[in-house]
This record gives sequence, C-alpha cells and structure tokens, in this order.
Amino acid sequence: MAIDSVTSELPSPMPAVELETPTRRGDVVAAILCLTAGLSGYLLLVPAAVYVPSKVAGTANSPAFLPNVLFLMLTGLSVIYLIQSFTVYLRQPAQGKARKMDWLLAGGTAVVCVGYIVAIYFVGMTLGAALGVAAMIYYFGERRVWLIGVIAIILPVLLWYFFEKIAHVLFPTPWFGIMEWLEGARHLTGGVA
Amino acid sequence: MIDFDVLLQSLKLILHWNVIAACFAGVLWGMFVGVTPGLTGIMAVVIALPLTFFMDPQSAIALLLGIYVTAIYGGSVTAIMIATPGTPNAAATVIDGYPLARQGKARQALEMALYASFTAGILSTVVALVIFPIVATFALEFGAAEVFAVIVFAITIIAGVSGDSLLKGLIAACFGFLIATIGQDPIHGSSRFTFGVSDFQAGMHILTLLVGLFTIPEIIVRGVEAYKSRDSVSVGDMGPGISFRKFFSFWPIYLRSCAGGSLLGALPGLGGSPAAFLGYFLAQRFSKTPEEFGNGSLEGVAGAEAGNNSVCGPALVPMMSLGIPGDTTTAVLMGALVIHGLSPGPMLFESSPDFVYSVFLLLFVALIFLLIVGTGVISMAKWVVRMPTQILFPVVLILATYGTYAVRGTMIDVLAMYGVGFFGFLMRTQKIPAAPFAIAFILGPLFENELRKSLIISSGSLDIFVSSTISISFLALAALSAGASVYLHWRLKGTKAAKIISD
Repeated sequence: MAIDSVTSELPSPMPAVELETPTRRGDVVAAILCLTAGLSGYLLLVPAAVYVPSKVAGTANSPAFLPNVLFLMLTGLSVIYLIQSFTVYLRQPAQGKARKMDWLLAGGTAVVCVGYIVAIYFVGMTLGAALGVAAMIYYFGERRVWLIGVIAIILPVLLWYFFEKIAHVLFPTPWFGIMEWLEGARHLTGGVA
Repeated sequence: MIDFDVLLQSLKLILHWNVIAACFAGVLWGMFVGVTPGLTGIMAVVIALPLTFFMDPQSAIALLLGIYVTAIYGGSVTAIMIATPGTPNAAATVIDGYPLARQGKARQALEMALYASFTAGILSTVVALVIFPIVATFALEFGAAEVFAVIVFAITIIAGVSGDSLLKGLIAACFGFLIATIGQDPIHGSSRFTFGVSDFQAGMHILTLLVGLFTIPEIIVRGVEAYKSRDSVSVGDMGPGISFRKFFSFWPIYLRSCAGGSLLGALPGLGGSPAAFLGYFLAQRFSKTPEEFGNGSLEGVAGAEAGNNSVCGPALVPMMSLGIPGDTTTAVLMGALVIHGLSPGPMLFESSPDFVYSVFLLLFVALIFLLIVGTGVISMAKWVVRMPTQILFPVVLILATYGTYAVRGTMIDVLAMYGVGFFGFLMRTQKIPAAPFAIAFILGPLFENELRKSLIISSGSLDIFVSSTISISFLALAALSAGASVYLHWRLKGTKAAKIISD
C-alpha cells in the first residue's frame, strides 16, 4: 500500500491553517527577494560592513572571502529559483491562494509580539510579560478573564523571582520602572509595600 | 571496541541525584511538550537550554537527553487519540493509531507505541554504543579538507530532505552560513556585519537563532489554529491494554525498524520522521496481514514507533564523533555541549571518553524514565489531549523571551530573536526549510575555519579537496545525495507522499 492511499482517508480534527502560499507568484517574489539579498550583499554589504586588512585582500585568508562566496552562491541559486518559479507561474498563473483571514490572524500575532517588546522597553520585563501574556492569550481565543488574570500575575512573578533573585540576571531598566519603584518603596517602608 | 573500564567510570558520573533528577525533569517536560500538538521536540529543547546555564555539564545534558528521547514518544499520544501528531516524528503513527482509537482500542495502541519506543530505543542505543568508538577512531584521520567535505555532505543531505526542493534547502543553508559570519573574523579578528553595535561582536548566539527560528513561526501558525479551534476535542473509549505475549510476538518488527532507524539516524539530517515511515513500511512488507495496515494495525503502530525512537542513539554518533549533528535537535544538543565548554568532534572521545559514554548511559536512564512516565500518561490520555493551546503558546512565547534575554543579558538578543522568528515565518510561508538554516548556522564557524585552513595550506588550490580518499568519498556522496534528492522530488511531485515529506 502506498503512502498516498493510506493517508488519503486520515481524518483531522484540527482546523486547516493555510499560511503557506502555494502560488508560483509567491515563489517568484521570494526568488526576487533572495536575488536582491544576494546581489546587494555582494556589491554593497560586504564592501561596507567587512573590514579587510590590505595584505590579505582578495585571498582565501580575507575576512570577506566566505561572505563573498556565500552571497555569490545565493545569487546563483536565486537565479535558478527565479527561472524555475517564473516558468511554472507562466504555465499555471491561477493557482490556489493562502487564506486572507489566516494571514490577518498571523499578522495580528506578530503585532502582539511587537507590542510585547515595546512594553518591555516602557514598563520592564515583568510588567511587560504580564501585559504580553494577557494580550496574547486573549488574542488566541481565551475569554475567561479570571484565568487570563491569574496567569498574567503568576507567570511574570515566578519568572521575576527565578531570574532576578535566584539566577541573578539583571533585567533592563525600563523607561517607566514601576517594579523598581515598588522595590524601592519596599525598602523605604521596611518591607511593608 | 567498548572500553568497559571507562564505561564503569562514566557510570559514576551519572549516579548523582542531580543528574538523575535533571534527566527525570527532562522526561517530564519532554512528555508534556510531546503530547501538546504544535510544541515540537526542538522547541522543548531550546526553551530548556537557558536553564542548563545554571547546571553542571552532566546535569545539563541529562535534562536535554530526557527531553529529546521523550518528546518523540509523547507525540504519538495525540497522534493516536485525536489524529494530530504531537511532533512530526509521530506522523506515521496516525495511520494506524487513530483507527485503533476509533475502534475503542486506544489503550492497546498507546501501550504498543510506548513499549515499541522503549524497546527500539534500548536496542539502538546499544548499537550506538558499539559503533561510536569505531567511528571516533576513524574520525581522527580527518584533516581540514576532510572535515570540510563532511560538512558539505551533511548540508547537502539536510537541504535535500528538508522541505520540497533541494534548491530552497540550499538557499536556506546560505542564509544560515551568512548569519554565522556576523561578528569577529576567526583569523584576523576584524568586524563583519556588526554596524558598530558592540553586542554583535561576539556574533549571534546559537540560542537566539534557534529560539527565534523554531518558536516564533510555530507560535504564529499555531496561534491561528488555536483561535479557530476553541471547541474541545472528543475522544472515544480507551479499551483494554496489550498483553505481554502480543508485545513479544512483534520482536521481528522491533529489530527491523531498529536496523532501519539506526541507519537513518546515523546519517546527517534525516531524523525521526523518515525512520518512522521506513519502520512502518518494513512492518507492512513483512506482515502476514498487510491488508489491516491503514485500518488499525498494531503492527503498523509498532513499526512506526520503533522506527522513530531508534534514531536517538545513532543520531548522537556523528554529532559527538565528527561534530556534525544528525538533526536539528542534536544540533541544539551540540550547541549545549559547546556552551558548557565541550567541543564535539574527533577529539571529544580522546579527551573525555567517560563523558561520551555517560551520554549513552543517560539515554538508557531516560528510556527507563520514559517507560515509567509514559505508563502514567496513558492512564491520563483522555485528559492529556485536551491541552489548552491558546494558553500554552503565549506562555511559551514569554519563556522564550526570558530565556533569550538571560543568555547574555542584552535586549539586542531579544530583538534579534524576534527578527529571526519573523524571517523564519516568512521562510515557512514559502516552504523554505528551517533545518538547513539552523544547521548551517551551527556548523558555520567550523565550515569557515576548515575551508580557509585548507586553502591556506594548499596556497589557494582546490586540489586539496580531492587529494584524499576520505574527502573524495564524502564529496561524491554529497553529489550523489543531491542527485537523488532532485530525482526523488521529481518522481514524487504532486503526490501526497511528497506533501508528507515536505511537511
């Protein structure tokens, strides 16, 4: 029995998520981006961002040797990728598309992630984690506010205690350091706050 | 041959409560991740990696091995109960496991999967223990050109088997090698692609890249899934368990799957999924009732599970003897060894034979814990499969962020992690595989060193790469595997088999 026949009947209780773009148009765009990365890397990035001592310039001993080889390889492979995907796109321009809704949901997750990082800068790791985890759980579909609240309190406090007090990892100083203020207040009031 | 004196010494290394406890904790975490659809073994290992910074090397590797071994089995629980493989390695288990669960024989399928995993794991670890000294002795013959040729072979085979085309795999590998060049040049110490940011001088940390590449894209994709599936899943009756007579009657299946899985495990890049399918088809090929396969055959479950678990031990052989990881999870294990000051490669066995043997002994310990924890999980399987993924993934995201920050205490790593993650997500949408990217990044420094060293020795002549039998053989194997990959993709194009391999 071939794989095809045994897997064709498999049920799947999970919903289908179609973020992959099976269209050749997507492949063409990806190939162009890879080609641009390869060429700009070889022509612009390596000369600008790799310091090469003059006595080893152009030899295998040069710090730019491997980056140059890799960017050239990337360019070559991207050209083949572009030709291959463009040929198929011309032959079959109308293929399936990724679901717009799935992409929007994925984009929303990315936005929440970015919001979480921004929150770390504003209010620090601990409060940022509380806001980030609450926002993300809500966004992923959980609507029980008490549950979200419990997780948003317990998780950041546990992490704060483990990393700052046990592992002695110093967290970044936020622009609005509420936790630092709380800690300072605790010292001032003899541990009451 | 195995040095039994060293083996006894290595036993002393692992017989400490902290090592055993770390291994048990790893098994628990690996099982939790394995039974949670979407949380993969590699994610489990990378999330646990920051915790190992505060451990001794032995405990660290015990924790990670516990996760590595258990996550493979854990994936079969949801594969059998709700037809959703917890990890990709369990994809073949769905074929017969889920039909068995629908027939009210879920417990039989789960127990078969557990016992087959345990048996094959033990057998393949014995195989690995026996072949390791031979491979390690052979690896001492390797010079710069030979190591370079082995890396070319490894990258070619990984690029060929990951994703749906060799071309995309090679493009991913190029990106991985390029990211590895960020930081100081290994020979002259001059800056590359740092743009004046001092935190980039040491390059991108292995954990930053791995967490970003394997966690963020998965969370984005599974987040969409979690949002769309808020209804709880329903499962049927568990039914009776499996008898020992029935279990022992399948011994030829364990042996065949173990032989196939060990072979695939020792080759770079193949990992558990192909081994599971190989085990499944070997079981079917030699079965007296092949017509039952696909409709709920215990032999099918045994073949698939014995296959995927038999890669664990052998996959460590190329990693520890040559410094070439067998798959992405062993790549992380290799990274963990490097973080703890151990250099996987030909000299590891020379300098720390007791440590090498202790790693294999820890595999045995992890497998015993797997049997204990797995038995408990089976009795709770009905509840286990109802993991609230809409809560788990956000928690994982926060853990990933803290873990990445803790590595060097800089927000640059966190930003880089998210950057790599979003890049990995875009790669995924175009089916550009992550495995060659990650492994090329890990092997990048070695690749550059050996390439430049070879060319300096030969005054820039490429003849050095065809001057020894070993390097010629590996380069020929690389060409052969590239050709085979192109041919296979062409033959399977458009079929469901291609989709399974691609996924």
